[in-house]
Amino acid sequence: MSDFVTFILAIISAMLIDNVVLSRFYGICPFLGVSKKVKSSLGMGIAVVFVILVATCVCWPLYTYILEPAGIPFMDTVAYILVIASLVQLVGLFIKKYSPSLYKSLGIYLPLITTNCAVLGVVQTNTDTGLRFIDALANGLGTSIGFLVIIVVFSCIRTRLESANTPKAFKGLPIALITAAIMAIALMGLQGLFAGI
Amino acid sequence: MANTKRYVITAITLGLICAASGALIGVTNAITAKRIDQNEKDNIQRGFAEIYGQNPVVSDPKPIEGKDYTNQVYTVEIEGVEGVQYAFRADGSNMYGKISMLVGFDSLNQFKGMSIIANTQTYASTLNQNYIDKIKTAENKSEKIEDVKCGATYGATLIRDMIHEAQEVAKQINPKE
Amino acid sequence: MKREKGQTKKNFLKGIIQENPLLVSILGTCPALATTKSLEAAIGMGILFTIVLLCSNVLVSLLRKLIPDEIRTPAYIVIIATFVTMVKMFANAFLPELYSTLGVFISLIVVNCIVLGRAEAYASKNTVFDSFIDGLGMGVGYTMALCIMAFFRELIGTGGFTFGQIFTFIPYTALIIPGAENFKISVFQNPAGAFIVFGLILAVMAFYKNRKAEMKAWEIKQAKLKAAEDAKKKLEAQKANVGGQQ
Repeated sequence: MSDFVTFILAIISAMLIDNVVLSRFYGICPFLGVSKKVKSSLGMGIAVVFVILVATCVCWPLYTYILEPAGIPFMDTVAYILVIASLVQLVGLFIKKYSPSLYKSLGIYLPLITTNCAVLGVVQTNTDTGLRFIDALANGLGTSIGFLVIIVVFSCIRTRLESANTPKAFKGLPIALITAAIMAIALMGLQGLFAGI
Repeated sequence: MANTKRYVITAITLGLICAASGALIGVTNAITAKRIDQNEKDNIQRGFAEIYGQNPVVSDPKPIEGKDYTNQVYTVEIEGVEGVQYAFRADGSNMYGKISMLVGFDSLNQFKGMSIIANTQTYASTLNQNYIDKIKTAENKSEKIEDVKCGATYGATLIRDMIHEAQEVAKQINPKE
Repeated sequence: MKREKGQTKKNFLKGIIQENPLLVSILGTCPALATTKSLEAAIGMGILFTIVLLCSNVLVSLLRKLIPDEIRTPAYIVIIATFVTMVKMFANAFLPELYSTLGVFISLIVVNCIVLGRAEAYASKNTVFDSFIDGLGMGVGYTMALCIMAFFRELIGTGGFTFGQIFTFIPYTALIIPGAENFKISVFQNPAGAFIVFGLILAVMAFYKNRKAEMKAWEIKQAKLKAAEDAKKKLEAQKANVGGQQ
């Protein structure tokens, strides 16, 4: 199979079948915290896509060409989190300078991304599982787009839930979590989608 | 000027913290590295016991070069069984992660069994249930190896290719006609 | 500075009950959902987490006057990442089963909001001893919350509990309720079950909180009614008194 097809397949499987939030449990905090409004969840999702892509492009070469040859692969977590934290700052400064309007809508989510497990989780699994660069990129892209899709869909459901007649004890987070469970069950149905290939 | 001084102090503090962190982790690594190696060795010994049924006498590994997956060969001797048997260490990876395993053959180069040392595939549990466990329990193991449709087809195909390559290497090392 | 009596105890208990990091503040949810498949894994995760939290709290509190304000967050992150890496290595060396079960979630303690949050909000402002107690309370509270989730997930998902698979120094024991294998609901072992259990626990907590509030409101209302009645009676008595005098 050509590399292109495997690339696309890897994106789809990281995005839907093995969704970050609903089956790998990365990034639950922003998933529950920033999903009250559709607009803010869209902003958070796009910011995450951006940071994960850049972080993958920086951290994979960092590990393969610097940490590993230098004999200190065990410094990976420290290096990654420093890279991610400074990257988030840099991206923030960059956007602020060149597109103030974008900064206005994305800026407040950027600091939250440093503590989003999705970013560190993806970067860490990329090198822990020894993926090639193109696979790492596919994993990053699929994971982050999966996060974007799920958080937007979830926020749409949550805005409806606000006005729904739920029992008093379930108001707010509990019913949102049960909704997430039903979404996870729905995505379980996609497992084995590529079994025939 | 005051600003510059402040920047310098900040940079030095951060540098010191990083240096201290590196030193601490380095020391921890020195303490734990031996133990981690020993764990891996125990793991491999357990793998051999799983393939050959009892604790076999295993030689030190010899490297194999120029193959895609197979990278080490062991000679295995078992009490009461004649002939030298060969086992191979194979490492492979695909877009879902890495697989490291031992592949064992008997003295007639028939596939004897395999043992997974590390499996970081995303669908590791599906792969275990629907492919690896079926091979381990099957009567006719070679037939089950070919049946890779299991819900984690890429991982299964990788394992099949690794076993095939090890089989070829076994035939080269231990020619039986 | 004089310490109030019982302050240490209060400081410790607040992490367990009033400010439980998982059940009240809803922080650190990722490992709570991912590592609560079995009770044993939850206990392991809780212990590793508590160790990291204790060490980072103590060190941050020690260095609180040395670290300039501008680089507070990066410095804390480096400190936390250092301890996480050390804990990861020790786990890999001495508890390899725990290490392979928890996988990447040991590394993800670095970005756990609780550790960074406690460093920022508490340890950077308080003494070493207070920070230590705070870390201990928060760690124990988090571990207990994880155990509650894992208890229900393992009980419903597998029909009992197994020990000795991760902590291999304990002999292997499987406490399966007889006949339970026909009634287990295996979806509770899947990701979906984690969300359901967490949602239900939060709902139960909200229910009791609501009821407490309602009881309080009812009591206040009763007290008010009683007071009003008393005042009325008093007034009537006064009137009667006035009438009698006339």
